[in-house]
This record gives sequence, structure tokens and C-alpha cells, in this order.
Amino acid sequence: MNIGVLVKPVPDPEQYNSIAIDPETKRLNRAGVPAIVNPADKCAVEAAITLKEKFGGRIVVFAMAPPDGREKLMEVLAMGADEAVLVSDREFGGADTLATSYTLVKAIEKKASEGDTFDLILSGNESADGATGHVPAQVGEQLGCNHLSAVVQIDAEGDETPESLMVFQKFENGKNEFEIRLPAVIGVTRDINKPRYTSAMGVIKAKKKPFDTYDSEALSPDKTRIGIEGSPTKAGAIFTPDTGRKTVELTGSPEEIADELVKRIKATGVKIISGGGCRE
Amino acid sequence: MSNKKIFIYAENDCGTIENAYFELLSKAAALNEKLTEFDGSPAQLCAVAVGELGEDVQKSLVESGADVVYSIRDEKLGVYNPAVYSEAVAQLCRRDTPYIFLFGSTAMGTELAPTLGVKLHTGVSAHCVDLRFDDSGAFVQDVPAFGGKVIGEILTPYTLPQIATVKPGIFQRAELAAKAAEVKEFSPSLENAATDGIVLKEVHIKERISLPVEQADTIICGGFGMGCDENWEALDKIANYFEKSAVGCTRPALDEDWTDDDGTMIGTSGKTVRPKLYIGVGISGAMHHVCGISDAELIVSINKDENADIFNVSDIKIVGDAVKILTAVEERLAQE
Repeated sequence: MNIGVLVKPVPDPEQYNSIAIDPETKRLNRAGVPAIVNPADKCAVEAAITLKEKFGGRIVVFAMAPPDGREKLMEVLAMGADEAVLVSDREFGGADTLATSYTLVKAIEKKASEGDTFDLILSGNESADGATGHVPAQVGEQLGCNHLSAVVQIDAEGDETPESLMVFQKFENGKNEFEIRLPAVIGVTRDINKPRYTSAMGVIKAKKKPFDTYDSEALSPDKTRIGIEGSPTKAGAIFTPDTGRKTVELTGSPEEIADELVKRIKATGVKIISGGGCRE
Repeated sequence: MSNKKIFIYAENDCGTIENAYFELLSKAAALNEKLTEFDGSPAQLCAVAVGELGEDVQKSLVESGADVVYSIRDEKLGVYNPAVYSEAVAQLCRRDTPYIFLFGSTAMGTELAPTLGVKLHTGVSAHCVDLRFDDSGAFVQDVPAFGGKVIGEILTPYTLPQIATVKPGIFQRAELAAKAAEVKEFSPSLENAATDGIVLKEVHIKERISLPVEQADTIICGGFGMGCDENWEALDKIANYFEKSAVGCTRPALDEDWTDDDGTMIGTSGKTVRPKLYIGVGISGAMHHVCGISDAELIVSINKDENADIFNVSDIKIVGDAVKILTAVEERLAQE
């Protein structure tokens, strides 16, 4: 089973509180926030490795990113992917999800034309930074193959690459169980697995794995469909949401705090039920 | 009436229309007032429903306050198939070119909206927290980035429809005057649509033993600072004293397996809630969580780190050991 995995370097979501808007330039200041591999994308890599362990084949990871995205691709090669493609060019910058997925599709098609075609493309369902969740659907639609998002489980039977996979998609009231015919694009959520840690041996091996960089010339895309020009959405102003709350601190012993808290809760009109029992 | 149309996807979940539809329709009705200032007349508000509706569902849509109900029907639209559904909706859009198309950010909406973006080659904004017209009449879609730390404006200036998804719970449902909407049937051409690429085999409904967090008036929410499995029960004990209460969790608490109900996770990749009372315990205040509670009426936070970010978005700050404070609060509640 040949699997492509789409990964995105994102600023570490643990540190989003330190991201701010520069009051002078009105631009985003994310200085000092390191990039990591998008957490859900790591789950996609893990899912790919699990499938490869069962069916064999190759795993090619793709990232559309500036040149320093190479480092993040090395991390997923160390996890167990076989080959990496960095899709990088100034012309790709400023792309929205439609232009991004078009560019990724061009890269997937180029890689497929050079060797084995892909049975499956996996991706994190959404990135921690933009979090649109559009890319799996938009890559699938532009590749012209079946696609599903919000997948929390992939089941595959047999010893050989099957014609279809059973997948569970999370929805509001539970899970939808779909049979999806390959080739397909699947967006997985972080519920699907816990990604493995990389070993020191993995890091050493990663350095010897094939690594390609595709620029705009290599992909020869329709220039009206990439970057800012190819993006039907345009970014306007950015601002910080106003929480509008004046924080009051309660101090004293736990008993004193509890007493004051209950008074304040009652003052808002929220009813406290004598003797409890509301959740039994 | 203006010839502009605002489409709102009416998701039919086993015979009931999802709340998101009514919330979005309410927002669209409000937007329409502003649009009328620019155009001289309001846009048509159109419910778009796929598949057989049934009498009750059709009635609820006709009386919802929409002007038109588009009922898209075909024998291939019996069971939900994202590929066929999106093709059917795309055909209606190609015929009618809506000005705006709104979807709830449900599993179905987040699948259909970006797919439609490709089919119609237009822009899609995701998980909007506000929708408005600016002074020039441009449709501005406010989207959260970095877990909601920053809000960015998205515009789709050159292509139609301007597609946006909005999480359930972001907008409030208003009581709209029923207009006795006209029901218009639309029969897409699906002769060439393959139905065997994606086949829905089974729907596994999760049994709900407790009230869903998005419906709760009081939420006691635990984070990583709860420390261990045993401490988690303390949240339930507090919730026990409040009517319509629920226990929520953050991503780290879910990852620790202190709760197995991922439907109680609050934040960017979970639920958006607006309870009267929210008590967060051992929660650092990562943006991904905080943006899901910003509409709570009273936010109480308990954390042992006095500099925890959660305090910046709280009404009441309590610095202290979670278990000690919760024990004291429970004892105090027992006296009521």
C-alpha cells in the first residue's frame, strides 16, 4: 500500500498564548514560538506506518512550507516515513486552502508520475494554527478521488492492499461507519492513535532517506491557481478578541473562598439544589 | 426583493433539523437588515435540504422564517454520501448562484463546504465566530486562528457563493416570524454520480447518559491540573448540586484518559458552550480551550499557578490546590 501523508509545520500550539499582534505594525508577532509538526499530522503518519506494517509499500510525506520546513519533514522520516517532498517556492506563499490543496495535488501527481501511484493519502484533519479542516476534502476533490474527513478509526482486512477501507467518521451524535474505495484521501483526527516517539536510530536512518524539493518550476502549475492570486479568499485585518472580563480574585482559607464563591454564584441567579442529586 | 440569495444548509439528522440551521438563519435574518441598506431590498433566505424531508421536517423548515425551502431530491440521495450530496448541492448553486452559503461546522457541513469550494471554485471560511457586512458592503467573515488567540477577517471578493461554516452554538437562535416559505423542488442530474465510492454502512449512535455540555447551564470543567483519575470525581460531585449541569474536559485531560467521553471536550476541536456558570479547574488556559467558553456568563477558574493564562479570561480567580478548594466548595454546597 503506497501512502502519501500531508504534514504541515505549525507554531507550537502549547505557546499560542504568547502570540500577539504588534500594536504598531498590526502584524502577527510570533517570535520565539518554535515550529512543530502539526499534532494531527503526526497521527496521520502513525496511521500510515500502521498500514504499511500490515500491507507493505512506501510512505511519502509532503509538506508545503518555507525551506525550514525540511527540519520537520526529517522528524517524520525519523518516525518511519520512507521519503519526503518539500513543496516550497515564494510563488506558493499566501495561499488559502484552495490554492494550497491545488499545489499539494500537483506535487502528489508529480511524485506519482515518477514511480508508484498512491493507494491512499492521509492528512491530519486540521492544522492547529488555521484549523480550517479543508485540506483533506479539497485535495481529495481535486485529485478526483473519494475523500472523508474527521476519521477516528481505519480498519483494513487481509494481507494485501484491499480495494476499500472501513473507516469511522466522528459526528455530533456518534460515529458513521463508511466503506471507502481506494484510492482515497482521509483526514484523521487526534483520536485515531497516539503517535510513536522517534528513536535515535530513526533519526540516523532519516538522513539517508530520499528527500525531494519541488519548486514552482518543477510542478509547472497553472499560475492563476497558486499563491495569493490563486486564492479566492483574501485576508483582511487581524485583531485580538476582547474578553471583556474584570477578574476578581477570591482569597483566604479554602472554606472562606468556598463561602464567597457560593455567594457570588447565587447572586448571578444560578440555582443550587439543596442536597444535590442533579446527576444521579 | 433583491435577486441575491443567502443559502443556509438545513442538515437533516434522522428527522430533525440540526440547530445550526436555525442559528444561521437567525444570523442571516440580522445580516439581511444591513444588506437591505445597501441593496434597497433584502436577500432571499433559502433553506437548502437534501434528501426526502418527511412532513414534520418540511413543516419546520417552511415555518422557520426562510423565504424559500429548496428540497433537493433524487433516488441517489437516500443515504448520506458526501460525494453525491456535494454534487447535488453544487448543481443547485450553479443554477442559482447564491450570494452567500452558510453551513454549520458539523461533520457533514465541514465535509460539504470545502468540497463545494472546489466544485464551484470559490472561497470557504471555516468556523467563523462572526459574520458581518462592513461599511463598503463587503461580507466579512471573522475566523479564529491560533486556537482563537487571534481573529482574522476573511473576504471572498471575486467569486460566488461566499461560503462560510459556523460552529453550532456560536450564534443564538432567534424567534423569527414564520413566512410560510415556498417549497421548491430541485432534481439534480446524478446519472453519472457514482454511489459506490463511499458507502455509509452503519451509524453508531453514542448513548448519552448525561446532558451534552452544549446544552448545560452549569459546566464544571477539568484540565490537566486535576492530576489524576481519582481527583476527577470531585468535578462530578460539584456538578451534582446544579440543575442542567455537565462535566467538561480539555484536550490534555482527555489524553490522560481521566474521562472517555470525547464529546465533552470544550474548545477549538471540541464544543463551543455558553453556560450560565462555568467553573474551570486545573486548566492552564490554552487558547484552544478558552475560545470555546468565551460566551459563558460567569467564568470561575481554580488553578494553583497564580499566573495561569486562564485567569486573564475569568471573572473569578481562585489560586489554590484543586482538590482542597473543591472539597471546601462541596462541603459549602451541602449546606444549602
